[in-house]
Amino acid sequence: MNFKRNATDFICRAIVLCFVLVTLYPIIFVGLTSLKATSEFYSNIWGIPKVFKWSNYDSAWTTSRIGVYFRTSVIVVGVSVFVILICGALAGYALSRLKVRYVSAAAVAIILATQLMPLESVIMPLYLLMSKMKLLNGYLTLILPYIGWGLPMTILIYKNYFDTIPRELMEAARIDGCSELQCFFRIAMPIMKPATATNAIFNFVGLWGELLWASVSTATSRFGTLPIGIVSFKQQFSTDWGPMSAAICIVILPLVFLFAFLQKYFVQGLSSGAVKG
Amino acid sequence: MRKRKRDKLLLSVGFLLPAYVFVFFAFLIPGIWNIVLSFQEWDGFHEKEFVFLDNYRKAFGDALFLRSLKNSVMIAVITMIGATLLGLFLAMMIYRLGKKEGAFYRLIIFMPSMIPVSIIGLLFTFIFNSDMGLLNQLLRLIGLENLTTAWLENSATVLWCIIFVGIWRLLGMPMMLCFVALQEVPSTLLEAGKMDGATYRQQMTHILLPLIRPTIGLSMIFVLLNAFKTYDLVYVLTKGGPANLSMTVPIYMQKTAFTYSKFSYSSTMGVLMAVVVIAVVLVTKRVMKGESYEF
Repeated sequence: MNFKRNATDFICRAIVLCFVLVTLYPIIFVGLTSLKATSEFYSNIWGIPKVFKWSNYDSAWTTSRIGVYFRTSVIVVGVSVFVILICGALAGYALSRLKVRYVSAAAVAIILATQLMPLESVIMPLYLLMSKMKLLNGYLTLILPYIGWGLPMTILIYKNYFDTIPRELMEAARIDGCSELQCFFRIAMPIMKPATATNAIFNFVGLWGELLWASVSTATSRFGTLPIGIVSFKQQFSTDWGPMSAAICIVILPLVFLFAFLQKYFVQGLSSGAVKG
Repeated sequence: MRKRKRDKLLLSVGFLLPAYVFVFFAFLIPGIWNIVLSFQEWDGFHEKEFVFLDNYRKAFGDALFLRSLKNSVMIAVITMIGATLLGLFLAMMIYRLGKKEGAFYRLIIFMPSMIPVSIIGLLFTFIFNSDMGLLNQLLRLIGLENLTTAWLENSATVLWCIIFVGIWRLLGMPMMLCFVALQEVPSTLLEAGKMDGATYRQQMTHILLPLIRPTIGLSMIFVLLNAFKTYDLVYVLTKGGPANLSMTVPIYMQKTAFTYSKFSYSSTMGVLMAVVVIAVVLVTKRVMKGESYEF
């Protein structure tokens, strides 16, 4: 009996480890390649680099302008996520706490409608709209749509989370003379930290790699975010495997750190956004 | 009292307004415009002309559009089935291995879900590349030279490569969702089963699986919606090639609009795509419908 149990455990572990390996290998491979000289890449594709060629990172960062793209991405994603969190929290609070009959119903219906709309079909009309408004030449080109696309899910997660906070807490504050705005900033927001973390991560991850709108809207300029930089890098120097891998690592690293430290919130968001959405 | 009610309305609208201005701007207005445009004929320069269903008729006669649609649906559905089944399977294995050990595996397997799709596409160009690609290198290493091929240029393999990458990338979500659901099943239920002499596999199939069925359905929808978003992946891996064989609707749409300036035809495809996505989601929901249990 005991033996059989151990055998099953062993098989389970073996299978899971296979999957772990398949998942991890491409990432490790890119990590290793990013430190190899091109000649070494061809002679020693599987092994650990003999000499660590850190200059690959340098050449990706400066020569192929990944550094510039990185800065653009940080600004665009940073501002977008910040605005998404503020607007999303306000709207989520209103939907959960200040129920006004028709307004709330309409607001929720709009969120559901956006969930059904594939983003791909919004791209082209939005491009036309923004070119009419002369908004196709800078940070706002990317930031404005990103905010709009991130908000519906964010509002939903905030609303679901506000719903779980006991009403009495707010009532008590109100009796003590808090105005609605004070209630929001002093009482609600501090309790909402987990939801804020979840939303911040989700939006960050979603926007950090956004390629479709970025490539459409910045097609004619040298301005662009990291995914654009990497894709054009690939088209220009497709055989420069070392710096190419270094560029990929530069994109992934912030995400890996974020994920390693805030994994908990990520999973929470996955289920809380999904369950009712 | 009346004043309070009015205050509440103003406050509520004030709180909602900033967010909804953005949502209207980036989502609703272009979305509605897209639908309107799909009934018109417009190339970006001439006057818009109302042609009602002409664009739709054209779409159904367009072999490339039909192929893109078929590819999109095929990629999404097979990715969904593959990722959900494997994810569920893994969740069960990890569930058995216990919390501490499992946490590590879950972390790793979930990781690809948060790497940008365009980057994943690049990672896999390393793997599928015909001369230096890892897959061909591996096949040569173990002496299966005759199996090597230009994976992304070969019409027989290209779609399967895209599906494989999709499964690799999305596997983590159903795994995580199912694992969380498995953990929420009270252990007393399993113990009761064990008393009656059920083996691990029997416990799984007869007790746990029916209980987490709603979660499985949910993961399927989740994967499905993600797997329909093929633009980034296909763009980086193949750009729709070879000879448009791996073309999917999002790629074709953007090409029609921005390379050929057929804006209205592109929006027609967008509407049809939305309809198909919703239809597939509804069918999936219907198939996975079952009783849900409270415990």
